Amino acid sequence: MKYSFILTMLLFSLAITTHSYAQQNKTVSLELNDARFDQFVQAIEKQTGYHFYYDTKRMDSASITIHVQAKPLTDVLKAVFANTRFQYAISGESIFVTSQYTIQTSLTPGFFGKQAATPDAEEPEHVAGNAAANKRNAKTVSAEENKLYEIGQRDDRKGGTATVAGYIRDGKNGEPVIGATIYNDATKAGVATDQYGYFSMTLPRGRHILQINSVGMNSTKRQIALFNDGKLNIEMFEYVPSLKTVVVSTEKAANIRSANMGMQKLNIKTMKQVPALLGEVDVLRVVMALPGVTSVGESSTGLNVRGGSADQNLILFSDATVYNPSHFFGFFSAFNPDAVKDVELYKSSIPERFGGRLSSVLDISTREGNKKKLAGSGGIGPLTGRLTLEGPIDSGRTSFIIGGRTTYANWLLKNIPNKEYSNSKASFYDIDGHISHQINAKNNLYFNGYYSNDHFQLNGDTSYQYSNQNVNVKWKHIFSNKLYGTVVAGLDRYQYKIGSNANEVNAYKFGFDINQTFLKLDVNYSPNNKHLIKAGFSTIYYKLNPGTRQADGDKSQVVYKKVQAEQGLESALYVGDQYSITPDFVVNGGIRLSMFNAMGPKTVYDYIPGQPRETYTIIDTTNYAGGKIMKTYMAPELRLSARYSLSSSASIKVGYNSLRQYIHMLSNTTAISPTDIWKLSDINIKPQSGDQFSLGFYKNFHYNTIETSVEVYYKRIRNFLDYKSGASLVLNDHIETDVVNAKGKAYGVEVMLKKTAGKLNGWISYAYSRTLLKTDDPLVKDPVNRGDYYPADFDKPHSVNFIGNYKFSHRFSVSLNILYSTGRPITLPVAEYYLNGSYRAYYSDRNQFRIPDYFRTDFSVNIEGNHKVKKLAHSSWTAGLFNVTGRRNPYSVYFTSENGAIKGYKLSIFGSVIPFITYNFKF
Amino acid sequence: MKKILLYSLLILSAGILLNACKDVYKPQAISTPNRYLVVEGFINGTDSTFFRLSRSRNIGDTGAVKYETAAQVSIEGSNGGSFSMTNKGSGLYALGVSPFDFSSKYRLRIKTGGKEYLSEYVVLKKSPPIDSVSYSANSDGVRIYVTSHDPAGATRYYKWDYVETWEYTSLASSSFMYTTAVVPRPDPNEFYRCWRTDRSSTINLATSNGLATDIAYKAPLQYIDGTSFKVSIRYSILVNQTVLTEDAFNYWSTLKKTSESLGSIFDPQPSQLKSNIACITTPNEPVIGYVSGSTNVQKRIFINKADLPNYRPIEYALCIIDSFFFTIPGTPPIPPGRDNDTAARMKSYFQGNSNIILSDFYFGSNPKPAGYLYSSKDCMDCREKGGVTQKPAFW
Repeated sequence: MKYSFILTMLLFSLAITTHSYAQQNKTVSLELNDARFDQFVQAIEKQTGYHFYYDTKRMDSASITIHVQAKPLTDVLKAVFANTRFQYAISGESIFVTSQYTIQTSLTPGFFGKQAATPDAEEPEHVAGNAAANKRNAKTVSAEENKLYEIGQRDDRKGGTATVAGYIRDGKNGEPVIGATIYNDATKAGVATDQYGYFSMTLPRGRHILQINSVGMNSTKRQIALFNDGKLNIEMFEYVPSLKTVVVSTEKAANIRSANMGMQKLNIKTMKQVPALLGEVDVLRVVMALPGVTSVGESSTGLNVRGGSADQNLILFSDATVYNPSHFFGFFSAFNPDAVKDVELYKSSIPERFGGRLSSVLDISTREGNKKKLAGSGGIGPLTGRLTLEGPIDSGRTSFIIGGRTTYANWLLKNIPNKEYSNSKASFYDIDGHISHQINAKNNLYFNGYYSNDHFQLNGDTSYQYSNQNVNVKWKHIFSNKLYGTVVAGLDRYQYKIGSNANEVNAYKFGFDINQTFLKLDVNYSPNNKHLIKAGFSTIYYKLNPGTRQADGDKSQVVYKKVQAEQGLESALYVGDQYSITPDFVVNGGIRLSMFNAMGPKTVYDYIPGQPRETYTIIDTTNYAGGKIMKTYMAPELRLSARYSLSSSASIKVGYNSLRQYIHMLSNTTAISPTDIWKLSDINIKPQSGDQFSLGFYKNFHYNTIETSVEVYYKRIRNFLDYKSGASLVLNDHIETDVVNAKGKAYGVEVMLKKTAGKLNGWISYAYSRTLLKTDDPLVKDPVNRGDYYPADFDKPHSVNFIGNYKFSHRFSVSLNILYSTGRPITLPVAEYYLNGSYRAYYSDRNQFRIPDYFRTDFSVNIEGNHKVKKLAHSSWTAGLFNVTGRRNPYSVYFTSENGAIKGYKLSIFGSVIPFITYNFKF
Repeated sequence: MKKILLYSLLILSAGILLNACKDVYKPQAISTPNRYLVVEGFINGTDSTFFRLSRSRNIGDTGAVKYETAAQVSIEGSNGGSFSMTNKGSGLYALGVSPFDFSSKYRLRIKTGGKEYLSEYVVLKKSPPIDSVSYSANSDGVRIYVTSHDPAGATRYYKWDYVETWEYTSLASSSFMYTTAVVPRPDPNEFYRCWRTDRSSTINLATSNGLATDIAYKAPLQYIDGTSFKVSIRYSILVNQTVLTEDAFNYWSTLKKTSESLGSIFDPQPSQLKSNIACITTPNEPVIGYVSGSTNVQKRIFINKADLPNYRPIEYALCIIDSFFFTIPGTPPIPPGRDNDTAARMKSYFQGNSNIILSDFYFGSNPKPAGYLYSSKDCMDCREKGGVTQKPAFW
C-alpha cells in the first residue's frame, strides 16, 4: 500500500461549534477490498453524514482494505491512517485529511467572549505554506479566506436565522459573477448568484463557512459569524492555471442541484474555443451544437428547439428582444462575442419570468465592463473586424463597455473579377453599448443599447436592408437582504426594407417594421433558504407596420399601399416559488397569467361563421377605433418542476411547462429570410399555445468535472400557423385567408456527456427527436397530406454532436467539432408531366423524403501569446478549417425545368474546405 | 509577397462564401402507378380553340409524351350551348371559331378512360394588344422584353409564350457530293442555310397589380447569350399574349415558382397546385392544368446581326476542316491500276455523308486538284442543328 504525500485544503482555520465532539462517535461498518480512497470516503460519508476534505490527487494511488462492523468512526480513521504520514481531524461534520500537521480544531480562546478577537488574529500561522492559490493572489485570497467576517449588528440573540446577502464580483475587473454557487456544508444550504452576481442566503445564527464556486474561477470560501441580517461582498479571481495548482472541488454542481431542467449555459470562453466559420465566433452556431437544437440549414441561424419553429424562440440580448439574430444571409450571428458574457438556453423549464414564445428562451447576457481600468479587445478576421472598449467612468462605480463589428465584404466583392460579384453588395455592422452605474449599495442602474444593420444586393437586382434597434434601462433596488427588485423599460425595433429599381416602371420600395415598448418588473424574495419566491409583471405594447410599398423614382407606376398597422398589448403577471422541502427534494411551482389585447385602430373582415375563411366568405367589415380592444386572449401558463437528489452527484428531475405566443412569423421559405413578416394575434388569428412534459436524470462523475444527463420530453403545439398552397403573405390585408391552423407534436431523448475541466473539455451529445405537424383545421378543404401527421421541415431524428478542446499547453490548444444529423425532410416529385413547353415535376405528399445526411467536421488551432499576467497587450491567433472533409452537405434539393426537361440539383452552401485565420487582441 | 498571399486568402474566403455549389441530384427511383390527366390550352374567344390532353408519367421515363388520344372534349356555356371539339390526333382537340358570348362563362368537359372531368366555369377575358416587343443588347447578350397595357384597366394579369425562329448557316457550302463517286453537287447551298423554330418552354407572367396603370412594362421574356447561334444572322420572335384571371395567375405563378426556381436559399417550398379542373367520377383524383378563357394577340419582331454588338457564336468552334489527299504528299504517285485504293478511301470517307466535302484544293501551279477539304456532317449540314432549309413565309 503506497501513500503519497498529501497537501491540505486551502482552509486551515476552522469554525468549530461547541457541540462538535459529541457527534464524533458515530459508528460505521465497512467491507472494502483494495478500494480507492474515494470509495472509502463515499462509504463513510453515506453512513455518517460527515464530509471529507482531502486532496484528491494525492489520494488517488491509495488503496484501502478494511473490514469493520459498527466501529466508532474515530477508531476506523485511526486504523486506516495508522502508520501513514496522514493525519486527520474531525470538526463538526467535517473530516480533514492532512499530512505534516494536525489541524487545530479547538476553539480560539475568547471567541465567544465580549472582546472578540479580530479576524486577523485567527489567521493560522501556516498560511504562508499554502501553495494552492494563485501566486499573485495568494496572500490576499488567503487573508480573505481566513478572516472571520462579522455579518450584521452584533447582539446577544442566539438561535433563529439571519440573512447574508451581497455581490460576487470578479476581482480583476469588478464584473459580476453570474451563477456562482454559495454553499454551506454544515446546513447543506446552497444558493446561486443571479445575473447581477447577487445572492441572498439565510442561515442559522452563528459561525459558518461558505464555499464559493464558479466555472472558470478559483474557488474560494468565507468564514462568517452571522449575527443579524447583513452584507458580504466577495471577490473571486479568474482561474489562471499555474503549474502546481491543486484544485479541490466541493461544488455540488449546478446541473445536479438546480430544479431547472433542459437548461444549458455556455460562457463565452467555451464558445470562443469552438471553430467558427471564418473564425467569427458565433454564439448561435455553438448553441446549435447543443442537443435538442437544430436548424434547417447551414446558412440559417434560425434555431429549432425541441421541435419548435424559428419564431418560437425568445432571443434576449440584455433584456432586448432581437427579432433577426443574424447577419449576412444568416452566415453570422448578430452578437459581438467580446460583449457577450454568457448564454443561457432554456428549452424545457422556462422560468416564469419569461414568456411570449413557445419553444425556448435564449438569454444572452452582456458584460458590465471593466470597473477597474480601461481595457479593450478586438479581432481581425478574413471578412470581419471588431473592436470593444471598456472601463470605469468614475471611481469604480460606473463602468461602460462599447463594441462594434463590421465587414469589409463590399471591398472584397468589388475586387473579385467576376461581374456577378462585383455588382453585388454586402455589408453589415453592429454596435452595442452598456453602462452600469452603482448609485449606492442598494441601487444600481444599467443602460443597454444595440444597433445592427445589414445591407445586401445580389448582382445589381433587389436590395435588402434590415436592422435591429434596441435600447433599455434597468434599475435594480435592494429593499433588504431578502428582497430585491428590478424594473426595466425599453424599446425594441426591427425593420427591413426591400427595393428594386431594375425596371423603371415597376421600381418599388417595401418597408416593414416591428416596434415594441416594454416594462418589466421582477421581484425576488427569499424569506429563508427553503423558499425563493419570484414574482413580477410585464407588459409589451406592440406596433407593427406589416408592409408599406411605394414607388421608387418618377417613372414608377407603383401605387402606394400600406397594410393597416397592428397594435397589441401583451401583459403578464407571474409568481413562482422554489421550495426546498428537504435539501434533497426541491419543487419549483410557478404560474404566469398572460393576456393579450388586440387593439385598434383597425378595420377587420368578418367571415361567414363556420365557413372556410376565403375572400368570398367575407360578409362585412368592422371598424375599431384607436385604442379600442378588439379581442382579448387570456390564459394561465404553468411552470412546474421538481428535483430529487439521489446522492450528492446524481439527481432526477421532472417538469411540466405551458406557454403561449401572440406574435407569429409568416414565412414560406425554409430559412429565416429578411422578407419574413411578423403578425400579431387578432380576431381571426388565434395565439399559439404549447406544453411540454419532461423527465431527466443527471449524474456527475469525477468530482463534478464530468456531467452526464438524459432527458426525455413530449411536447404539444396548438394553433401553429401553416400556409395554403400559393399563399401570398406580402401586402395581404386578410392574411387569415392564406393561413391554416396546424397542430404539432414533438418528442425525443437527449443524452449528453460534458467534461467541464481538465486538459480535454467539451461535450458529446446525442439526440433523438421527432417533430410532426398536422393540419387539423376543420375549415380547411384540402389539408396538407390529407390531414395526416407529417414531419416538419426541421425534423431531424438523429443528431450527434462532438465539441471538444484539448489544451496541449497553456498557450496552445486545438478544437474539433464533429456534427452529424439526419438530413431534413423534403418533398420530392413523384411524377412528371408536360405543360407549357416543358416537363414539370408533380409533387405529392409534403416532406416524405429526406436529403442526404449532414456531416461536418471543423478544426482549429488556438495559439495564445505568452501568459505574463502584466503585459501591454495580449494577443492570440486562431487558425482552422471549416468543413475539413469538404463534404458537400446539401442545403436543399430542388427540381427545375430546364430546356424542357426536369433536372434535380443539390445545393450546398459550403462545398469545400474553408480555411480561416483570425487575430485577436486584448489590452 | 506576404500582401499578395493575404489578399488572395481574403478573396478566396469571400468567393467561397458566395459560391454555393450545385450538384446534379438523382433521388431514389420513385414510381407511382398514377397517370394523372394533364390539360393544356385555353378557350379562345375569337379564334380557334385548341386543347391538348396528355398523361403524367414517372420521373425519368423517356420517350414521347403520352397523349390522351381517345377523349371526348366539349365546351359548355353557362347560358346553355355546348360545342364539341374535334379529335385531331396526338392528343390535340380543336374547335373552330365559335360564337362565344363574352358576357357568359364557359367550362370544359372531358370524357376519357371511363371517367369524366369538368372544369369550373371561366370568364372570357379580352386581351389588349401588345404595345411592343423590344430588346436591349450589351456585350454579353440580348434581353427581350414585352410591354402591354390596358387603358381600361381590366387586364391586370398577363401571360405570354413565344415562338423563336432564327436563320443560320452551316460551316460552309458544299461543292461536291458522293453518290457512287464524288461528283459536283448541283446546289452547293443545298443545306447551307437553315431556319430553326423553337417554342418557349418557360412560363412568362406579369401583373400590374399594385401599379397605378394597368401596364406590363418591359416584362423580361428571353435572354440570348451573345455566343448563341440564335443571333448569328437574323432572329425573330413571335409573342403570343393571353390574359388571366387572378386565380389563373396564381396557378401559373405557383407553378413557375416550383418548377423553374433557381434553387436560391430563399425559395419557397414546393406546394401542391389547385387546378380548376376536377374529376367528377373520382373526386380525389388530381388533375393537372388550368382552363382559362381569353383572346390571343400576337406580335413579331426581327433582330438582325447588324443591329447587335459583334458577338461570336461558338456553335462551330470545335469543327475541324480536314484535307483528303488523292496522293499522300511525299509519296510517289499512285501507279495506274492502284487508283481503286483512292476510290475505296473516298467511299469510306464520304459515303452516307458522314463527312461532307467543302471543295477541292490545289497544290502550287498544278492544275489538277490535290484533294478535297471536308468536315463532319454536324458542321456541314445545317439541318443537323435542328433547322429546316425551307425559308419561313414570314421571313
